[in-house]
Amino acid sequence: MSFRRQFVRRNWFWPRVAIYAICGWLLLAGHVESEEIKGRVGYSIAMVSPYGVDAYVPNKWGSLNVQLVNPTREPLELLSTTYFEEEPTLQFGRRVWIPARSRMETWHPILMPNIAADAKRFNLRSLVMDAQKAREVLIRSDSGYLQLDAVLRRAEALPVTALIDSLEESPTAESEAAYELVVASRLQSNLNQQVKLLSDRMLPTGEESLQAIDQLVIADSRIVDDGAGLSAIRRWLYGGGRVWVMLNRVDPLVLERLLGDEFSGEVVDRTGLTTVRMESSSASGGERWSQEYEQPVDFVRMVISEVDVAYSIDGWPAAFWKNCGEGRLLVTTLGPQGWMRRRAASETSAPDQGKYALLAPLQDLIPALFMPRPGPLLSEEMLEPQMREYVGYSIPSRWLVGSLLIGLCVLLAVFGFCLWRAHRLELMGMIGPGLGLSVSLALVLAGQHQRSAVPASVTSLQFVQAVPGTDDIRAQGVVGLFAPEAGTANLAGERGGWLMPEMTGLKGTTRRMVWTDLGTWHWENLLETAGLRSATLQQSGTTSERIEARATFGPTGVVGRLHGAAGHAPSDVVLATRDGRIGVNIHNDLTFVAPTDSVFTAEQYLSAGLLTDEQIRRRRTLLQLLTNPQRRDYPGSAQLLFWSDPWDLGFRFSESSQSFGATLVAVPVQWERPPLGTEVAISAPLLPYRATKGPDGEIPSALWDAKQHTWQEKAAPSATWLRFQIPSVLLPLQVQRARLTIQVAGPVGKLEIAAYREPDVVTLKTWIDPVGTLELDITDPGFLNVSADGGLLLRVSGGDSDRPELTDADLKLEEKRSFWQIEVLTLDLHGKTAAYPKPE
Amino acid sequence: MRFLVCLLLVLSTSLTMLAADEIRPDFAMESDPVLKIPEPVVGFSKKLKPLWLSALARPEADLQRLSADTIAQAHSFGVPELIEAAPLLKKIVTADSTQPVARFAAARALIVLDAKEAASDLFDVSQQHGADLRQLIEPTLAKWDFKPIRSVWQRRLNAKETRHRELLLAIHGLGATADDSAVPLLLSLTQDVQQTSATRLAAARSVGRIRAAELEADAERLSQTKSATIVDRLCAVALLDRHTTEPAQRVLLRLARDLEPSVAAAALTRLNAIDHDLVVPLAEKAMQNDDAPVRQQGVEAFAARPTPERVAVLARLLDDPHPKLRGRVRDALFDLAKKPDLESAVRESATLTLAGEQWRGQEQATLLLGALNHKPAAPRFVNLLESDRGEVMIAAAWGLRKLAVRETLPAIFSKATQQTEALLKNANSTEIELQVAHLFEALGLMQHLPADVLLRRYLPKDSRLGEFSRSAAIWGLGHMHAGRADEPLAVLMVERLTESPAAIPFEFTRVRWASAVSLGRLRATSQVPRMREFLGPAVSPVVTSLAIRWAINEITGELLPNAKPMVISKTGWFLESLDNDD
Repeated sequence: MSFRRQFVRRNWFWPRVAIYAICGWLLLAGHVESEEIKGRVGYSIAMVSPYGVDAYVPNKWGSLNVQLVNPTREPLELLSTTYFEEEPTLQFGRRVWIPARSRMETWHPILMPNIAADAKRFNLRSLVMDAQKAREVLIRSDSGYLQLDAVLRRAEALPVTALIDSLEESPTAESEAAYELVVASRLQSNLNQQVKLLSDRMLPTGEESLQAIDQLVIADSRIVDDGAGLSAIRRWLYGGGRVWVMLNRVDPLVLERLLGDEFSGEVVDRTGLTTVRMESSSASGGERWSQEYEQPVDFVRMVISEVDVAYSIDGWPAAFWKNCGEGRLLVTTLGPQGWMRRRAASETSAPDQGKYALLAPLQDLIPALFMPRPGPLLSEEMLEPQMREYVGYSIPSRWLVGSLLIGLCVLLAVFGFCLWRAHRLELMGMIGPGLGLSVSLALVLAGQHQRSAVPASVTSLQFVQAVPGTDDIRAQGVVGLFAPEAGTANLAGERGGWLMPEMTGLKGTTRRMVWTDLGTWHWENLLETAGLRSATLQQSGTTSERIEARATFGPTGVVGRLHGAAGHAPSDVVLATRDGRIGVNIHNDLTFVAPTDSVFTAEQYLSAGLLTDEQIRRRRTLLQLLTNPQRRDYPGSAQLLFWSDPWDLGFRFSESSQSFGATLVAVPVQWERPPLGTEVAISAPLLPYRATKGPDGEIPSALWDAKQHTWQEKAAPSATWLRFQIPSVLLPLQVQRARLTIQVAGPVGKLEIAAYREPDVVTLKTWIDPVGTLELDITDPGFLNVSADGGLLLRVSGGDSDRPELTDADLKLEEKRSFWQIEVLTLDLHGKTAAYPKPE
Repeated sequence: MRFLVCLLLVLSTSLTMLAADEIRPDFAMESDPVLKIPEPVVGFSKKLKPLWLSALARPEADLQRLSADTIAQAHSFGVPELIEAAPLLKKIVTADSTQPVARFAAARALIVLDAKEAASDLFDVSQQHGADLRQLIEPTLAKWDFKPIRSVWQRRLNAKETRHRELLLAIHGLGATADDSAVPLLLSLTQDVQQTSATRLAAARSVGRIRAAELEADAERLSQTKSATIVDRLCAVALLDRHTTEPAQRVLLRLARDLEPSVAAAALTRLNAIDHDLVVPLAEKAMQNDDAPVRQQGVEAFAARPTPERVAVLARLLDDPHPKLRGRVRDALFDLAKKPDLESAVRESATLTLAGEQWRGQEQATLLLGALNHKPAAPRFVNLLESDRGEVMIAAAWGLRKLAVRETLPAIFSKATQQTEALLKNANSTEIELQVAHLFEALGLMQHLPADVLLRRYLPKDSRLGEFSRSAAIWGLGHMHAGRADEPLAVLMVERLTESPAAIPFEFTRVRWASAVSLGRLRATSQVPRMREFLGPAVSPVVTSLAIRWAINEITGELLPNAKPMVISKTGWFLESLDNDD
């Protein structure tokens, strides 16, 4: 069922708001004064303090520690609720059971309000109530106060870096070194020295509790015992966080639990180095550093796969990166002293320089760690218009409106004729407007009837991402809450996350988000106006069956199976990479095929030829996701994208609400190696390429910008070697044939493709004044040599130096200069998996 | 950096840990007399357990999680009888409605409580409720040797689609339970170059744990070719982890010469475990390796099979850049010097190193010869008092105290006087402070009366003079005037001992107990009432109190009741009682 989008606010909206505001005040605070004495239990009832990351940033979630006391002889249920001076009508609370004669520490998330740019603190006020009573009764503390005032310090400077370090009371030289290294790293990045030390033994659960931090440094293993805390870190990392693990101080178990199947490392041994010989692993050639130490620097020798090693020592990784969803993980296996040096007395003239200076290798690594968090893949602004398309109610039918208008005309004509005959035509001045008003009233009543006939509904557009290697998912999206009548909204969550309605017009009403358990919350007194109100959602959780797409290559393309999505009826399935998209045929048993002949054109996002309204919406969402200018890095790895009905993410609404919408699910593809000797076809989206130095020593030109994924416009001849990367899972591979497809625009004059067959560069094809789509079949495997790490080289050159007039303008004639540009260049390969080279 | 080293050196010398397996420049005052503080006991409120159990029984996942985690932590701290929580924890673990975070915490608590009776339930939930639980539970099931899980692990080894971490859990589990039937599959994983390096190495390590024989050929195949990778060679060593046969030794001997230090170190370690004689031919070369673990294996071989010639080679490593290794060599040579046929070789080699210019060698040789009471080294020790390396000048001062050669007293006194002037000029050097402390101990023990005035300068509080030098001076004065009631000195000492703890600047604890000990040595009968008054009604489990008890016993012969252990109450739990125990 679908509805048309249309909404008109009623004229009496504001009076109704006022009524509900008054009701809300009566509900939440109105009873306080009359009941306060009854509620008194005669004790210092509560204390609030910072919790978790202890970093508070406007408009971001934080955590609040609440210590509650039950001095009575019976168990109590208390409600602690907190609001900020800046936004007194928005409260966040925790309802908790407390045994008799006891003190309990608990916590709850809290959304920080927007405060002035120069404000250094958030002033908050907490109230405690007896939650067992039907009416809310404030409890007075021993000292007679009904409310507790507290202050949370605003994070002084962004980004915020947090450190999980040892909880030992006496810090060791090692833990001090870890701290000093983080401080030096911040200073190196022109940030202040402030590092948030996470001193709680257990971290808050929920990804939102880490929202205020930008980098998390792990230098202690205690989080291994904190399953919920570790899950929160993992989800935060995959959502765009930056984590730095100092493996010399951390059990590898932390990485195993954090990354799940994505971690493939084993410690060989641990040693102490008095001479550190470090080498850069950059493609441009390894720089080397050597440093002597009196005190050995810890070094963990480990074997590791599927990571980007940035620096190594004697061939062992000293620092490596791993892309984790939208986030990045840095692991250092060398102790802190190996990355920094103590500043000489002559260097520390400025007090903010710090005691230590980073050595060159870490100076090189740090910028990527302190890079701003990436923006959302699908922002609220992108999703909301599409969500609204699901929302609406039917307007009076054309027939009804037409009939009324025709009736009006007929009546006007009849009355006009009769009055004309009666020579009382002046009466039309009264009858005409009267009839018009009557018909208008009838239309309004019909419209109102239509609207009130539509039930309350919830529409959602969700984007769910499976976290690779784990059972976790992360979801974000927007929800439209449509109510035919004003009232109080029922909004609750049972599995964590949050759903934050747009609060326009509700500032005068006291609303409260109350947590009753881990991940369980509900809104109280949330005003619901007639019409549509949007809300944003974010949730992360664990699925009972892991959602994963396992795929391999076959003679017709990619084949695989989607796991964990049986209940979601996937449709409009696409295999997407940064380099293109392939339409996927999925079967009932969730096996799928992405054939080589289903590669999409640049404008194509769905397989279907004739798109339905729903598919048009889906296409638009995919377009925004895959061409988001802020996120050109997405997708970093091949993703199976599919659509389904909205998922149950644990959010609860009014029982009478109907549900509409859609969910886009992104599942990273886990590649498996096909058996030896399998014929495989690799289509262009799975063969990324970059410009590289040629085997003949030719330096790459700026023809192809791999970072921006664009071909540059050229007016002069230009050439570059391209290195096509064959999926590592297929290596070693015997390439049998290839097809290069290329489109050029503009007066290129001459286009040439060449390959390298030792010892010569051989031109494979030359086109003169090419037009349209060009194809080149390379059937001689001698031109298709693959390096051990899966690189295949081809040279492309454009431009005709013999005909400069094609592009060079004759300035005397004031002609504009012409440019040529390669628009599309793709390669498709066919080959056969080969055996690993046998040991000699 | 040197400051840090010295500080760590000092801090590591605990009053209650005087047993010196490792030679270090310790203070005589710390073991003369021995003041043993009773081990503190941890106390817990009896009201905690019922509170936590009541919270654990609640339906809220948050309370279940926090209670389970608290129970696990409290059990680790020694709270008794928390195993009573096991039935409730099992209930949480097995209930379908339990939230994942609560189930994880409850499962972990059962593991910490070592609740083996819950193994079957833990096994079931680990297979039903996700990878995080499997990672938590399966290593414990391996430790508990829970047999039903073995078939699951075997299946994973066989199945092509097994996920990476689950495969590793199976590999580790089968290795830990020494399941011999898994060896063929594990071996095939070890040899499968398509597997990740981590998988191959883990598989090899597990096979090595299971089998003590018959893997020589596999190790040979993995490691013999020129194209064998580091992982191949590491796997080969891992396979032979429990092998002792001659073919295994041959493979290991070849790998012990590997250019890759991680391979060589592992092979040498195994060879040393089989028979040090196997390593002896390789040891000298190993001791020249860049890699400290490789050098260490060479040291172990020569230390276990010593000859006078090998002692000389070993002694060269007294100057090793790695502090732990040169310390190991020093201690090994100390042990070897107990053998009559090697004693002179050790002393000669150490003397040679002592005469050298390398500060590391000077430090270690000083410590070694000091510990060996090698009196001919005394003049060199006097020279080394002037070293610009803190480690050496401290070791030299310590060595002179150990040798106690009276001829060195003028030099010691002169150096102590010189360093005192430096300290009073606000030198603010920990190294000088520690050197002076060792020199004062030497002067006191040898009762060098001309130093009396110098030592007395350290009695009053002076911010320029540190804790160690002042306490050593007071302790030294006690020895210097032992049995001679020196009333003015006793009054000064008792003032240091009994100064109000609220005084600013505060008096060092070390100074207080050194004063008490010296009062005992002086037989200062007149000061006993003040000491008793400061002591209070009972002896406390703190070192000052124990020193007073010792002193009173020395002076009067009265042995006061010993201190009761300190009760440390652990607080800060998420849920605590408002009431004290009855």
